[in-house]
Amino acid sequence: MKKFIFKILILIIPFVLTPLLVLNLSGELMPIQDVVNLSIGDSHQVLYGAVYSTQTIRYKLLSTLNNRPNVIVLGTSRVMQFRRNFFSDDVVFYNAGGGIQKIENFSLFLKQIPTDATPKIILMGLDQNFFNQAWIDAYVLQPGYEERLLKDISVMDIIRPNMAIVWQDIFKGKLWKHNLYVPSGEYKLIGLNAMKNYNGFRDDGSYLYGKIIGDPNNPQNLDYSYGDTFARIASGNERFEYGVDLSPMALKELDLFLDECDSRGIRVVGFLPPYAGAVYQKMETMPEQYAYMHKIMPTITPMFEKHGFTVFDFSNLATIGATDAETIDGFHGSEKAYLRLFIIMAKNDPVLLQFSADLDYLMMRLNETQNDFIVFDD
Amino acid sequence: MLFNSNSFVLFFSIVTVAYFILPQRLRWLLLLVTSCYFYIAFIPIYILILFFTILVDYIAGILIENSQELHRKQWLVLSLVANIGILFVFKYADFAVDNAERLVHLLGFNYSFPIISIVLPIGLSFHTFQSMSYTIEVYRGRQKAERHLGLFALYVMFYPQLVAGPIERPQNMLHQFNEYHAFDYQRVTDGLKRMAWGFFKKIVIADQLAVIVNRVYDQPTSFSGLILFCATICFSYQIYCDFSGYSDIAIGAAQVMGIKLMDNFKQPYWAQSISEFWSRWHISLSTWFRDYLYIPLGGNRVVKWRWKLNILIVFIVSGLWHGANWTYVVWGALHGLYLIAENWLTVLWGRYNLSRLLRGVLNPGMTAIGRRIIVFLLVSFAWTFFRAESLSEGLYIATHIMSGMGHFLTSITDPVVVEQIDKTGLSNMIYILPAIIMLEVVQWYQQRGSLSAWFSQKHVALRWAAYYALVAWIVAYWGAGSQQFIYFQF
Repeated sequence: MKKFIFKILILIIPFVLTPLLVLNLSGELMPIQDVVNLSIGDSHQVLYGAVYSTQTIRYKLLSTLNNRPNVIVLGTSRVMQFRRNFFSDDVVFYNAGGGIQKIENFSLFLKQIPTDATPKIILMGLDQNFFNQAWIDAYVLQPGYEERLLKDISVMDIIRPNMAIVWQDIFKGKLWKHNLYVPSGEYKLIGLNAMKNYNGFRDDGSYLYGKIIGDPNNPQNLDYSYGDTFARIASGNERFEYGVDLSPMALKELDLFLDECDSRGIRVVGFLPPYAGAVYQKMETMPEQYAYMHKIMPTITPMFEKHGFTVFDFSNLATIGATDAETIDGFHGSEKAYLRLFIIMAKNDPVLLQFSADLDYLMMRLNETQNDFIVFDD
Repeated sequence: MLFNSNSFVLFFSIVTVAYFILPQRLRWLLLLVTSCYFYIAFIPIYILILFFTILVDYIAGILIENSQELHRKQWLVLSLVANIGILFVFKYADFAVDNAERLVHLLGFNYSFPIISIVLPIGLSFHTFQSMSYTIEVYRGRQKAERHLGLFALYVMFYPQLVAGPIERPQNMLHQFNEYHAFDYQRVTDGLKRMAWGFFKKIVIADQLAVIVNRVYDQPTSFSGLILFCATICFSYQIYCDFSGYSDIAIGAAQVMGIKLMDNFKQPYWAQSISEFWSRWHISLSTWFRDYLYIPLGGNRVVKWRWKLNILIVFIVSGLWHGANWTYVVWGALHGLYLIAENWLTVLWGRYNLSRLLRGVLNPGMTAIGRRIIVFLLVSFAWTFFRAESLSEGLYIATHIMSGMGHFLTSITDPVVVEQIDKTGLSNMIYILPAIIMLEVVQWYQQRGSLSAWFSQKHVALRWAAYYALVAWIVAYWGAGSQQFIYFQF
């Protein structure tokens, strides 16, 4: 029996230990509060990019609560390119982009911020599909947003579903590949996505797309030549559902959120985030399928103006002077594109302007940069 | 609870450890309770059906043994009617109603029967057949009626073979639950190796082939003959690895605990005739039909036409056992026709002494290979109906599977075919082929003798390298594209 148990252990242990080691040494098992604490600490910059233990929503809330910013960006992944450098030095900024999935999540997120940590400004990214009833009906998001916002994932919940997946990734060589891009700054890398690809959240909550920046013309990239986005448009799925009317529920949620912000003295600067020019043009050739999109601004502008807030339509990247080279994929602009739209917003919103870095400086940086993806070095 | 799941690995580990810790008198109870738990993991309420058949057959067994001849037959009939009745209601009622309705419409009447849509209890076909074999064997006087209800219940629902066999005979199994099985290092490790081999066949081969097969068979009219042919060959390996993999896991799991189950597969694609195929494929079912249907019908001890009818009856019923669909009937009938044709050819061969005539022309080795290939192709052709979603799709595939084969070498570079190869995932065969080659090598050794004995003589480093490689291969595919076992649906 002892011989048997010994042999079973020496057979099984490498298969159990290896993924555990991978998960542990890469920081995938690090409690999310520890990640947040490291990000806030002054000693070094952190780049947090997990593969097997993604807790973006929780991470963004905890970081917001710990940073107590006076300027927050709220929205999906389509707002993650705003950086701390866009603002003046005395501003406490945090990009909570990625912490929202649906329009009703804004209120729940805001509710978690205590009164004494109320921000002065919220930059609110309003994905166009938020207002599309067809998307709301069709898109089944992971259940339990509130649970993911308010609860940490346990170590066992990370380990259990991922043991075999880690092995599969080892065999497929996914953990061995090395990225062509190396940031200029020094980062403490937490999580395998950060370690392998330099993909991850910086301390200010903005996202570094190291893999795309390192090799933007790689045909293996998911949305190479916007192939994936065009396929979604053709099929009418995955954020590109065909829709005619705006969702009354979504409009109501927005209204309630704006009321709440006004009552708390928060200024909201809203915007519809950009699609790549080619993608926008493609949707424009399908006016019946995407009829809802042109109804958004006329409907929500009065809602913003009622509170003295501003809202911008950046749906077409081309209208802000950017080319499609300044995109990560069909519906995510790069940091350079987002600097452009930030400058437009700051110029047109006097309150935001007070928090902004010097616009001439920002313009200079914009014009100087050789890179379509990054303006401020990492 | 699927075998290829983390929960089964945990379940099996706990049950096995508890089994060896517990005294002999409590082991049956442990296995019974855990088998109930295993079954409840699927659809809990259906365990009541299992309990019903267990109770009916337990009582029937005792009554058969204690009664005089007339009553003995009555109790047997009652047991068979109860089992077949349940099978009919849950498995065939919809099929019967649907076909009755079609017949009624064909006769010009406009009447619709009510639809009874019931989910098939998992493993129903297996455990009812196992239970029926018990009452039949008691009736025939070959098995004493089991007086211990718990042991009888365990015989019917022993978890390793509860949902997909092997279909065991009471003479083989019942007594084993009364015997003490100590921990034996060699037996336990052999059992675990067998389970690992089963997981390899299921996870590394069957589940990966399923991806290709599903894409083609879901839309057969979208693909060329070459693709249909390739997908059908893939299905031949898929169903073999899926089912024999399950059997290996079941047999291995039981072996660990000292319970010996019958072998269910013996390298069936190495058969050189259809009759030999059926002595190697799903042995527990084919022997069940032989003993309880074919022989009572007269077997081959009847006139020629009656023998042919018996063959067709047995194989059509066997087809229907697999599912309530005309596709399974056609599959069964095809095998029946194959056997009849084979018998006719054998007679012809002998009558004209063709062996002597062709000696010197036919190389025995090449003949054997040729025969294996022919049998494999015939069996694969029949699988098209087994796998097809409907009779019309089965007919489409069967009539188009050879189209374009004359231009095989040019069509393989045809852009349309190349696109289809990509679309179906056939290009992934490059990853699956090494596993299939390994399967065939292992089976070749198994054909020649004991693979275990040969392997155990190899250097310890080589053996452990093989163990690590096998486990690594399984782990690499664990959970990736996991598919339910095909035979669970029967």
